[in-house]
Amino acid sequence: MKPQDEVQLVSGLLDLPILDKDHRYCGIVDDLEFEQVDGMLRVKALLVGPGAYRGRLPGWAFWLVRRIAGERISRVPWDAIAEIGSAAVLNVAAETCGLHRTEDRVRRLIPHRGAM
Amino acid sequence: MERAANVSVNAQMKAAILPALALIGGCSSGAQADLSTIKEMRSVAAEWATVNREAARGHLTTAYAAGMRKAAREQIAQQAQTLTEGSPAAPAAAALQALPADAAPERIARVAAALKQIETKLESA
Amino acid sequence: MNPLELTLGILTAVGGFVDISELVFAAQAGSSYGYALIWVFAFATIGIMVMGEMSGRIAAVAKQPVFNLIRHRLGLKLGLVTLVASLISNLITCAAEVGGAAIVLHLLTGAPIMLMAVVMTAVVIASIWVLPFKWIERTYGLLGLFMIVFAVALVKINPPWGEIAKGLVPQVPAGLSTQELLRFAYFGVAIVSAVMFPYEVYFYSSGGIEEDWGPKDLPLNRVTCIVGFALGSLLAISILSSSAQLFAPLNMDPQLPGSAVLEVELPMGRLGLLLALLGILFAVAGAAIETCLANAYSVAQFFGWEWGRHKKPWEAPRFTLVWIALFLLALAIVLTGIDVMKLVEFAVLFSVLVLPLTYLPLLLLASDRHFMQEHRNGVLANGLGWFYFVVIIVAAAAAIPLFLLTSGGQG
Repeated sequence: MKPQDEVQLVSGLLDLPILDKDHRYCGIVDDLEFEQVDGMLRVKALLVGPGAYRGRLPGWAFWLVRRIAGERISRVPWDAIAEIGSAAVLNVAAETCGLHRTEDRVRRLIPHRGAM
Repeated sequence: MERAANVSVNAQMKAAILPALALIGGCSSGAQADLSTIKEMRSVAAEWATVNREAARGHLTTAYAAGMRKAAREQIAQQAQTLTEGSPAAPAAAALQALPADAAPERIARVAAALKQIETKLESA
Repeated sequence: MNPLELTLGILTAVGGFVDISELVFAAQAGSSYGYALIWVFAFATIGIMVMGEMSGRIAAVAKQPVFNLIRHRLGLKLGLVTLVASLISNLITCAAEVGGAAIVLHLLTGAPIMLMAVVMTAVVIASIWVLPFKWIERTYGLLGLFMIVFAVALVKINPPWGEIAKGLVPQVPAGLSTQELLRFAYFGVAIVSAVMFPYEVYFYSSGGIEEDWGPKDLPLNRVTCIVGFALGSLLAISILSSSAQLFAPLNMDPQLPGSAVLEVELPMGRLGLLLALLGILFAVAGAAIETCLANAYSVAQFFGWEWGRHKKPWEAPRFTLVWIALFLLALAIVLTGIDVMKLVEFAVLFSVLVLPLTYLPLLLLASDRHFMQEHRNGVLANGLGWFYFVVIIVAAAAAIPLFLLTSGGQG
């Protein structure tokens, strides 16, 4: 399915895994951002990150999430999406949308040796 | 087999939930709680006897026999502590605890058989 | 289908079928009820065949593992509940496997159990770090084939095969008291839970992605699930049957984790003892790896992180940290000294509560035309799938009351 096709926002897009152009996992569609264009509501961006759970979780649960993982949100512009199927596949690298930052930070903690 | 001091998680869970379950039948009395302990003790004694019998035949490694004997005696000691006061199984428990780790299998099996008789009597009561 | 791949896949499934929970419950079921619970093993095995095949098919066709799609189907809130519940269930199971392996190492070497738990954890962490996924799965799965010695031992004692076959017929023994009936039901629920552990589908479906399965691998998936699990189940039934034949007359309802090997030692002597200990060690160590990786897969897939052992550890850093942390957490649980048999009971109890949340998304996804296209569930898969889902709901509802009413299966 292409982004210009009709998309079921909740059943088709929300909570879908996101793959970048190199097919690396770079998050889940945690929420959607809309804009009004010519009186019509359009999806502007995918929101990725623990901050996007606000409004989707009860207050106490979001408080816990904030304490553990913070509140950051990354925005993936709608036109960065190449295809929507069992995952949302991007036409850009994860870093372009500010994704993969935590993964890269944690990578520095892992020894780069010993694995076949 | 090494164990921590016996934290009877089962007993704690039961104390919390049993009043509700008693309404649908099945509140454990003291005798019922002893019955499950006696069954366990009977089985552990039987396992210990089997280990000693097979060890005497040279069928076991030293490490296995020693490990199983230690585990059996530790478990019996813990189970003995949970028996209610005046339990009919108390003398058998004491007899098991007095036996050495490499006791003759027949001696252990005799006590296990006595526990089985107590178990049968409690089940049919 | 590549015959070598198929053979290895089946053998891996066989060697990896029995874990500490099945070992404990099969031995106790046999000594307590003879052959009367064999049918429950067979029944539950069909269930895991159905669910395993579905999860492998989803991985091959949708190219997404189960937990990615669990969140998509259940949403964030219910998905989080499923994640937390399965994390707890798998962690307890992993701790039971680590503890079980530590006890076996202690019985093999005489070294202290806690030290063996640390050694064993270090060895499996090293295995997962160094070896690629296929080698991990194959190594422990194939070494788990030492468990075949239990089937050999059963043949050696020449049991009443007719009685064993009759055990495949659904039955409840006659003349049981109310308490014994409750205990029989508890064992039924526990066996269903132990055979259909949630970690198995998470691991199996993620393994399909790790091995880059596609629609061409669907026959391999089907045959592996059906033949592999069926043969693995025969091992569990061998343990039950030997226990019925050997332990019941000795008044043994194995309470000590090391007692099950006596089923092999009694007919086969010291060699049998050693082979049985090795079989249990590798089977249980393999299960520890599966439960830990299943948890790491679940967390990474739920949050959309890079995951998998087809990547080097530093290529999926958060996934790597998670599985190492989970192993250390499982080790910490074992080092508290908690009785391994208690861990097994809790593992089985928590798992059956998590099963409905695990299998519902699986069923919905496997029937989804959008994801699965022509490979979606047919009438048979749907029928069996929903039937087992109802069974799981009933088992989950009955689990806690039965556990308490029978003092954890002791009567």
